[in-house]
Amino acid sequence: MSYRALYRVWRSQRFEDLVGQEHVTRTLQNAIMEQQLSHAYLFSGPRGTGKTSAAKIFAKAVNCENGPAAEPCNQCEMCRQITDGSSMDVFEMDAASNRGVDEIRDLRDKVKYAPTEARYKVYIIDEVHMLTTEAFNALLKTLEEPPPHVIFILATTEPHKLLPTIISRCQRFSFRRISFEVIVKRLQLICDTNQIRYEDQALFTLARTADGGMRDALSLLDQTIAFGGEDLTEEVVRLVLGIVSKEMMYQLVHGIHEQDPSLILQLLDQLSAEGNEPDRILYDLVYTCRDLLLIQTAPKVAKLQGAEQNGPTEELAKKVTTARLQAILDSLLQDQPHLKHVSNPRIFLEMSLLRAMNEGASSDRDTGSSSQEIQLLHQKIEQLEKIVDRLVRPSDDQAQVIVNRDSSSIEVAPRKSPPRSSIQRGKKLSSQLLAKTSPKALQKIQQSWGDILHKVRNERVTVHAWLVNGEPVAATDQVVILAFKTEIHCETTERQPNRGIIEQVISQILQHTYQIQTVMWSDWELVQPEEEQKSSSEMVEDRVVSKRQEESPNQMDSVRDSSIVDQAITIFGKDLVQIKKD
Amino acid sequence: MSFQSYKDQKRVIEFLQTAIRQDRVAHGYLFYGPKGTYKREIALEFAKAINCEKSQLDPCDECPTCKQIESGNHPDVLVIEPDGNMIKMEQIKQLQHRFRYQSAQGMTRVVILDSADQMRIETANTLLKFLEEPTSPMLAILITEQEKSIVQTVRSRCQSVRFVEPTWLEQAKMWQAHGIQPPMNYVLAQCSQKFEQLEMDSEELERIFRHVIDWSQLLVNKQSTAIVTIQEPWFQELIQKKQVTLILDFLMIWLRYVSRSAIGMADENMAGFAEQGSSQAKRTTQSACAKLIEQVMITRKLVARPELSNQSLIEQFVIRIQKDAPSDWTKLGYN
Repeated sequence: MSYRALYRVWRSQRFEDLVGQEHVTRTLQNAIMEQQLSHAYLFSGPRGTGKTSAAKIFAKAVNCENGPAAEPCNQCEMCRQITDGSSMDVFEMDAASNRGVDEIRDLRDKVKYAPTEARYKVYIIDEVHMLTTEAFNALLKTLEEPPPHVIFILATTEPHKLLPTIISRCQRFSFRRISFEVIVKRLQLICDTNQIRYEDQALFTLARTADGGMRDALSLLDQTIAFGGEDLTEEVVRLVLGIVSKEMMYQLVHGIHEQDPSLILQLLDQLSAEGNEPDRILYDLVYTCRDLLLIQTAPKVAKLQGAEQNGPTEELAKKVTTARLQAILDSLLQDQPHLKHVSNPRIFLEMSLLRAMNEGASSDRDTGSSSQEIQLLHQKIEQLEKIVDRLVRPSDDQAQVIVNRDSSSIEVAPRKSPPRSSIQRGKKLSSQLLAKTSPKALQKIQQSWGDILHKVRNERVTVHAWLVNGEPVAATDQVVILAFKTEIHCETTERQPNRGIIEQVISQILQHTYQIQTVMWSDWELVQPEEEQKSSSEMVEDRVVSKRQEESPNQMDSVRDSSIVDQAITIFGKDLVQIKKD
Repeated sequence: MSFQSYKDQKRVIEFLQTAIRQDRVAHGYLFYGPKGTYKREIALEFAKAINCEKSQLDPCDECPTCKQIESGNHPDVLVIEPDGNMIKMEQIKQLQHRFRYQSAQGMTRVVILDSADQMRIETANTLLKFLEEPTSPMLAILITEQEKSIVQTVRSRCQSVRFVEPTWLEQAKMWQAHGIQPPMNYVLAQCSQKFEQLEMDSEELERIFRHVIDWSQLLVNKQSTAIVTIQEPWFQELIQKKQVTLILDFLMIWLRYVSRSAIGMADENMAGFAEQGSSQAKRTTQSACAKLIEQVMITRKLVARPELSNQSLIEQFVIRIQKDAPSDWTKLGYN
């Protein structure tokens, strides 16, 4: 005999094997014991829940030579004949292939004759929803009043397709989807019997994919064993089912949470290169989010459902808020149905994840607007505290004064912004401010610069017209430096209320207050070499130096120095000025 | 031919061979995956492998059985294809009839149902019993592009085998083999265009792509002249030829490239367009591009419908973008 699929080998042969359908089996068993058999039964329920198996067991139980008993003996001649389908009195009819009125007429004619060996003639009509209306109607009369020795069992996955007149003539039993835990238990039993070593997590994954169908679960188990041999690891299951690895999924969720588009795209590129299908990735991502939600809200259920609760999961579950997860999940679920229909699913997936990233954040924004305001206030208070601190502390040396002036130009600048000459601006840039610039802050600004421009344009077109000529060249946590090519653009952007509008838009989009600082390109290019140096390893050292300078009156000189140099350059031009240090 | 000729599907072949080696060949398989992944060819190889007289993991291609299967006239290896549009009930009934008795040579019968999704529900249901409990040793292989297009009850009786779509780089090589030179071969690899339908050479394609890039600039900036572009001869020519999908695909790919450039993740394989990409990326954002792409995708879907005029669809698309209208998937009319 050639190889038989696991789901055929492990087809239930006794009522007690019929796991997950206790409500059905108990009723049937009691009916047999009390001799209160109906002449027609209708078994309905999703695929792989045991309808056909139950019908066969029932046929055996009523006909068993050692019975009728609550369980068939599976030993006697009768039971064995029914099991291998050779009994003369138990007919298994495939209604999908024999759906016409002729077949039913034929059946009706034969029903009359008494059973040859068994007590009852049992007709199991499988996939009964496929019968044509005429065939159903031909069956009606027989179904209502069959001869006493006949039992009909109709099995179907789609009871709503049956005529109400058929349903009303049957005792109806609804089979339920088999629960996750029951499937896992059954899989464990089968693995143990076949001496297959397994990882719990592997079985969880199988059971989840089976989605309530025992046959699906066994089919999948078969498939994984065929691929991976006697060792059933999660890795093998993932390979066979094409499931994306957990770590990748966590990283993706992490990327969405952190709003890091480049991380998300990198991961997606990698997944595509490994041959993962876009719809599978989305499906798995939805499940990962759901797991995280479960862990957050109902840890007990999560455990039962096989959601892994190890280090990375917990960490992630703690980091992402429930509201955020819901928003992400919502956005993903909205996109899921479209994925099947678009011509280029991979690009759609990329877009969908990036949108989930943004939408999740915007929901955070909606709910957390008050906390954001508080944050703003905190910042303001901090600034004020600093100023108060300085005022209270007796300023005994000159350096203090300079620091004071310096920081006020950075932090309180917007209130008093008289038109400055470019020389002053150059000086300002070369000071403390530049030390604080970081490429990361700049990147953040640059990424949303388009958005900022767009919003400014909506607010006031004229401001946009000025601003569009500038480009962010450096940024600290508080200040954005914009470089302009022409003086007029530079000056006008700096002036109120233009400046106020721009700053307001930036703070709306980035959720953080920034001040803008304008600079001419020519000036910027002068300071840039210094800037580049700073980004290298000398940066730390540099900062130390500048701190020291703050404390010593030397600072004064250096500032004056650079302003003198700047002045010299503006007067004589860049090419003619040579800087010599002594 | 043998398994070795299909290197792209290494995982599938490994899976099938392990099943043979472990004597765990199921009686129902569902091969699914996009077009051009050699599903049918591998199904035939599989049929050969399990019946090969030398009983090798890789069919020998020399024994009479292999040869017969190769030439398509083995009595026990059947390929069923849609008769007209559909696989008919009659075909399945004949098949069941034929498979009722054990085959003479004691071999495993194989039936390959190509385009198994082209079947009415009634026909698919006929398969159910036949698939679940075959009367003689047999193997059924269902082939389809979309796994979900097969009824769930049938799917639950089969082992699903996924065929991987070749990566864009591999597809680019295929396009090159069809005479499309870089960089356009990589652009086309990302499109869902088919070899047979494309009657253009690389230069013409590149010319169109450059036009699309210019057009996209207008669209991104929401300039009112974007609608005028539709009247330009190159655009009209493509509309006449019913190849608007090509424009939309190009537009989508370009926007994707720009949006990736905007966050510093430009696709290296498109280096030829790097300059334009980065200059455009400076003036837009990733999320703006994403919105546009979504509109393109919807329009791309609508354009495929014969009852709608392409010209007006494109015009509507441009206007929607200019008005910044939200994308409306419900227009596609599916649930």
